[in-house]
Amino acid sequence: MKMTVLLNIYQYYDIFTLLQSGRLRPTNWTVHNYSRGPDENLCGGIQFPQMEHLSNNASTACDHRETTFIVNGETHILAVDATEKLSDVLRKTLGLTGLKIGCGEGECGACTVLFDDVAVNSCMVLAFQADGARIETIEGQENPEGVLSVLQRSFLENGAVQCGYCTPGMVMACEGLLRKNSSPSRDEIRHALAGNICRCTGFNPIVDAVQAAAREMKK
Amino acid sequence: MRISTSFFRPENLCELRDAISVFDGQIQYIAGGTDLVLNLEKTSPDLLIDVSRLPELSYINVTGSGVNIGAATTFNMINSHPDLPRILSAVIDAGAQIGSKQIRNRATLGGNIASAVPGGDMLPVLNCLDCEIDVLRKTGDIEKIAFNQIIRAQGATYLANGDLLTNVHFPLRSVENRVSAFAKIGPRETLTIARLNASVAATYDAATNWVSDITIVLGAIGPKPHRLWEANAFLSNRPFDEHFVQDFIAALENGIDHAIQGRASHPFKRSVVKGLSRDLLQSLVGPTVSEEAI
Repeated sequence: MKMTVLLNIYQYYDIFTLLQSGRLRPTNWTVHNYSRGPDENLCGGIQFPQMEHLSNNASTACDHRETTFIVNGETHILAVDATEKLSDVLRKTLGLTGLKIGCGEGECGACTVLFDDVAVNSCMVLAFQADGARIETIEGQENPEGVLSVLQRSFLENGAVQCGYCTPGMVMACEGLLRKNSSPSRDEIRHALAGNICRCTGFNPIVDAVQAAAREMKK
Repeated sequence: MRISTSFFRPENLCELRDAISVFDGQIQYIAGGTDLVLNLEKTSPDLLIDVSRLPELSYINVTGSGVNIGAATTFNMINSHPDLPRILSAVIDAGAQIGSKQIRNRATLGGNIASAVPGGDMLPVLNCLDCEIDVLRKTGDIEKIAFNQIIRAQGATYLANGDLLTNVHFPLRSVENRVSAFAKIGPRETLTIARLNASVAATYDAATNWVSDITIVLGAIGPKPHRLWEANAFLSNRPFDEHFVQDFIAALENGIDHAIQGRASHPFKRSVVKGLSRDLLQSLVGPTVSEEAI
């Protein structure tokens, strides 16, 4: 199957990450229109016919203890190194590149995932600490048929996504909030998002989106 | 970190105690990891032990003689506890201002102590409230240590290899109207490391507007929290009025002069301590501190 996707600079990085780890094996892919797109963003059309995801366990050479990851409802038993971060296992080993590693030190929130229903920075959790815990990433928010969650739809409908880099972390942080507080005030939403930095969309539409999602969920 | 580092996630405290009693190498405990993971390259343990999900270290018990909080209790658990007594207001205030929601969901009380970061928000609070720490030794014994005797230097404690913080005890004095407060100043309103923080505890009788038995501790001005021992002498047993506020500010300014005179940060911290004092007193006794008084 052929598909054409417009990628932003971050998505290029994700693909290179997958290529580097060996999880993405493009065959016969062509790149065209590398020049700047019509909106002067560093976008271009990239066409690749096939993505072949390799085996889940990319670190079989490691002789450390096996760790059980329950990610988006699926169980993965992987051998991890003591110092491996959860964010790296999710992105590089499991190919869940929705979460981003922005700062790598808990400042930006782009790597936010749910860890047993609460939002955490996955760059500050060691992978072996997640043994047996329920991890949810942005990829697990849509249902198996590919229908976006109420919160994801609300982000789109309220213009809460511009470049999209911070969005997976934002959505997961807000999901964690809504599971504890079904009708948060604007202040409570801002407080919950203090650890998520957005530098282009602006926070108002994001707060609007969370409030709209909270209203929608109550219907 | 050396490549040969192993990890261990015990199911309970007995399993952990058995393991550390026979392990000869360098042990590093990890709970929330919000400080440690960033500094993994600088450490070289033989064994990383995850204590973040040990049920025996994650609890809040309120008793008549005091409050016991497990060392692996997260700040989010502390902040959302419904029954903490009023004297622990400073603990809640400090816990609520640490990092972001994501960090408070992971970061623990014991981790804040063991990291011994000078700007650690809970450190002046624990000093101010005369906390006592339980330490599990490698021998399996539990020893009680005053919090003031834990921190040795910036990022270093007196804990030996294999020692594990298990419990923080907040003693409750049998005095009514005991209150406490915490305030901090940093480059941002949220998710900020304190440039200066402070905690105060006092007995305040709102009916008579009377202050007694006051303790003030400054943080982020040295490797350890800095207790203003002399403040109690001239700030106690007097009415809470504008003169008290002025003397309170003067006490904090003197404390900063004493601790960091000559350092580059001295003028900044001496200047901002006025606002910090106002925040502290407003938290301590309510919104009765007039702007004019400060």
